Amino acid sequence: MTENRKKRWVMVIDSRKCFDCKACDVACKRENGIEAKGNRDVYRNWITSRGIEGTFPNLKQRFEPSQCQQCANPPCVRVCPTRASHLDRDGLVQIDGRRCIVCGVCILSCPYDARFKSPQTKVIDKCTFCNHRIAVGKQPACVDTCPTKVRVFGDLNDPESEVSRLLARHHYFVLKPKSGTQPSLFYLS
Amino acid sequence: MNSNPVAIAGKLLNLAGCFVYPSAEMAEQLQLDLTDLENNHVRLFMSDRGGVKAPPYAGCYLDSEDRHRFMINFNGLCLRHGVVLGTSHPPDHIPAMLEALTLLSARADDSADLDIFILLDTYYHHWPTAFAAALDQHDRTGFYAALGAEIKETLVALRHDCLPQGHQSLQSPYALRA
Amino acid sequence: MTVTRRKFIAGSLAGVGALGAGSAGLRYVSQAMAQPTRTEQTRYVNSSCNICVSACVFRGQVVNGVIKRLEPEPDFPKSRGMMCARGNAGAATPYDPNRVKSPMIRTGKRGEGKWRKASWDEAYRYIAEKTNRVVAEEGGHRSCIAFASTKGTFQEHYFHQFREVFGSPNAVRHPTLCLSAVIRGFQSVFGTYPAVDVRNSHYLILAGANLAEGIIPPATIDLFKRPIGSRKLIYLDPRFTKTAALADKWLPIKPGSDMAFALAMMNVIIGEGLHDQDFIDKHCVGFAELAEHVRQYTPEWAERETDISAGDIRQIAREFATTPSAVFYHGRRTTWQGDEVQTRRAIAMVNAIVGAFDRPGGLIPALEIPLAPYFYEPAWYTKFRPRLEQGDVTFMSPGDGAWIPWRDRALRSDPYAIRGLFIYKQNVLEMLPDRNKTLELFAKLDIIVCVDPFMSGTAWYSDVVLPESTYLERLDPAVALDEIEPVVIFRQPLIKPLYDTKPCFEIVSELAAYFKDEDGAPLSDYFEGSVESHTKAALADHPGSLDKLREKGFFSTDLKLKFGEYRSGKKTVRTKTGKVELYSEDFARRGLEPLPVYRRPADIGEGKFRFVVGRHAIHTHSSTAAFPDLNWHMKENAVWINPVSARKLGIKTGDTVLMKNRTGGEVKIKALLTEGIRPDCLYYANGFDSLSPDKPLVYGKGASQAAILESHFESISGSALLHETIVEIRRA
Repeated sequence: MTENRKKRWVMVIDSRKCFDCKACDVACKRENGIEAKGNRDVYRNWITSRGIEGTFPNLKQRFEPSQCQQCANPPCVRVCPTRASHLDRDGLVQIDGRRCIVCGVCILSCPYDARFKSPQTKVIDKCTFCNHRIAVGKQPACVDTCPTKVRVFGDLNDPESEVSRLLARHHYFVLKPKSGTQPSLFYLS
Repeated sequence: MNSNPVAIAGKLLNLAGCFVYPSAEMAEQLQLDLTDLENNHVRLFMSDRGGVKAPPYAGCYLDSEDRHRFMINFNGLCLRHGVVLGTSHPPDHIPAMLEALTLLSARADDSADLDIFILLDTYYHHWPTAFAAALDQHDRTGFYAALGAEIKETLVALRHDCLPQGHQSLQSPYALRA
Repeated sequence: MTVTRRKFIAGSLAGVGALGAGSAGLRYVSQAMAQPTRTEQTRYVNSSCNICVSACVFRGQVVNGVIKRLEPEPDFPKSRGMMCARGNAGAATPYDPNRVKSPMIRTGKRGEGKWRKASWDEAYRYIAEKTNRVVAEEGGHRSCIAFASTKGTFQEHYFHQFREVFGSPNAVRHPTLCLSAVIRGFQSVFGTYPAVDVRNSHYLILAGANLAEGIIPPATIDLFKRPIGSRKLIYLDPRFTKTAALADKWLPIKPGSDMAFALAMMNVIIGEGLHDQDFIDKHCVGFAELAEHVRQYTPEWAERETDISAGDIRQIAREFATTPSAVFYHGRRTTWQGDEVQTRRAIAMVNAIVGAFDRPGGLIPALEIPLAPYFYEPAWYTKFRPRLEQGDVTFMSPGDGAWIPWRDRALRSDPYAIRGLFIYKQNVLEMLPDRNKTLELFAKLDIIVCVDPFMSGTAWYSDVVLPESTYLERLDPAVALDEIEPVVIFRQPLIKPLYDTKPCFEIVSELAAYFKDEDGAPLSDYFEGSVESHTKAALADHPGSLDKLREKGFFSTDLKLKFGEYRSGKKTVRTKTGKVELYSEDFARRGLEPLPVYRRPADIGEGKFRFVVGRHAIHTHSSTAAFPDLNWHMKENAVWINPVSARKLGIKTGDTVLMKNRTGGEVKIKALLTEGIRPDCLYYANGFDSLSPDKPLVYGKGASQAAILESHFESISGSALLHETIVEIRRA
């Protein structure tokens, strides 16, 4: 019963632990063979910041790590004319590069700007939640490598998982809830 | 282009041999100054102001693939077909790739799962132009520029000869990806 | 002379490549003997990182003989199962096309970049001939050859074994550019440079210790991984760093006044009776003298010195003294200002008077798993001179030296001439302040030898470069890490060494064969065994541990830290008195102040700025800025300037500015206006404007710290004082 249960992979993110060290960025690139060659638009995950805010000496700075939200209601899948963007067995949004005609509509439809054209495969690319690692029981590379474990990864359908426990105990929010995308990234508040 | 396999194999081996560090014998045969040859070999392949000018590693010239993946896949292909690349260079070392090609193309004749055209298209097609251009731009002896041009022409001709009947459009370069 | 391509092809190419080939005509590949494999071959090899000195253990994923990933080893206690950006990026290092691929001998002028490839024998012979010649010219005094190195590889001790059997006392290592002041300061109080139990502390003060960017496992992880609200972090730094972003309170302290802050804290704690009288009575000496001494240092006085309000100082002191697990973190690199050792002593004392020692969340002497020591025969020489700067530093560490006074004396040949420099891994030109002085020294030397896997700026200015195999291609002997959770680690190769490179032990033991001692015996007689045999010997008391190392990359034993062993008297503090020393008789005897006396830093002058340095999380000093995976985050450095100061000078973000120090150093760099720095300070990151064109991503990009830093040092520990650099800045 448990083994056949459908998974709902999610990430719970505690941005307040992030100190912008870029380990997630480099681990992702090495894991997934993404050679940006200095191109700042080539990345599957990212850390945003509005920079140092305020006036000396009253300052603050926040960092917000993010990536493809693995939406349960993904606009990119709806708009894809060739079904290159699709939901896999676990309900994760994936791209079948062989079907992608690089029309770019999915890039425009994504409210999170999570997609880019890969200079390597020449088709659209984005975070896969490292589904090749999930398949062998590992965590996504960004989760695994993070010094402070900002990201917690797990199955929300399992009430015993750490992600379930975290979301039961803490206040959280999702990014751009009004777009109706039902993201799988939950930010603790 | 002479598509006689023996002649081509000899040519590839000869081209690979041109990457050896210059000797007095080689300088004499080329009628070039040995120190000039040495300086250029070092500048192009080993170490130079502003970065080595023409690294002899195919993966450095790919705009379409991750160098690590390329090395992993190429070495995997060699291992599958009984070709052992030396360990003192990365698997995308161009002279080693040229030598490997002679062994691999012999294998392709009697192996169902190794198609010579796909092999050439996947591993020997995406870098020779850029490599030749780098050598042409930075070599001051003419020897290495000629070497780059010759590698490029040889591989282009070989690929043309192997083009499957009726195939004008090329297969996906990722056909061999594991 | 250029030959045309067609002439060439028609002519001589045909036979050239066949020259010297074997009978099969194959040089670079061979045919497999074994049955071919059908599938992708993935292996995991655990080893230890070498991109910084923390040496985190990783699981190396090797696919078809190519290093694909370095994943964190989840069970490795020190790193808490993480791998930082630099550690991840390290996977590409063996494949970097700009690696040094074989021994190189300079053919042009120094720094001109003309090289020829050499065999190891040629390179060794070249080094030995030049070196022996200058030693003979110096009357057989081998002290004229110096040896510079830095920590990190586990083979540095072989380099110094070579130095010792060669017969030179002149070792110059990294500590005086790093943590010699804090080690000396804490040793004088606690008898050791202790570990800090960050994990169990709920109140931490960091003075300039930028743990979010100078990542020190496990401290960094323990500080920031825990649930928000489970600790209070007070952070003092002239700069709003990423540690400041995650701190509960950031106080932009005036540089050079950390001691005033610590003294005022003690004034409040003792004045209000918040100190731990019981701990002091049982375990400390000199409290009465200290209490009397700090009465003068009121918070109101300190406010004027530090720019931190008296109210804040009082509140922090009270909170610190009344939180049972509070700790004032000691710091690592402390090459800052003024009486740096005395500043660190004051910080140590703040901990001592509240009993933040030998209790959870406090300072605690680290534990180390004992390994059998590496032994070699010493060599004896009749011609011996003490090291160059012997008298310049009170506590001279003979194995480390003190870079700044040493370089000054070497430049003056005082009291004798230095003729050659052998360098292992240290990027001397980028790490020492005042690069012009270092270049001047280089110009005086007859022979410079550099062992490095990469063409660092220093290698570029050398005569012979000997390429070491990278940390992913090497067996490095076992090393015990002293920690709260002690472990033993080592390194094992993920792949065979690429190119014509060798590990340090092979290099120095082979080079030794080209030198003789005074009795005419070859120095190679002093080198025995192999890295493997040394590793086995070191582990002799731990049966089965080598297998554990091979499998996991580390092992621990039942040696576990227990708090309370010093308090119960089971263990004794390793000071002369066996107590925590608040007043130092030892210092008094040596003519040093037995208690920390504050001196206000000299006024920097109108329109001038203090230049401060600092780490950033994605780079290790000057060694990683050119890693492609990391470089894109900062392609060029820029000088941080507060908008208030910038406005007065008409400087805008992106403007190119000219910075000048007081000793002839100047740089051009772009400006970055930011609220995140005090208006009287400037800062830019390390690693840029490399002197080596072989690091193309950072050659001629931005500015080098070594070019703007002035050369100052303090004489107690010999530490460099980088923040004593005063600069002017204007639009270029």
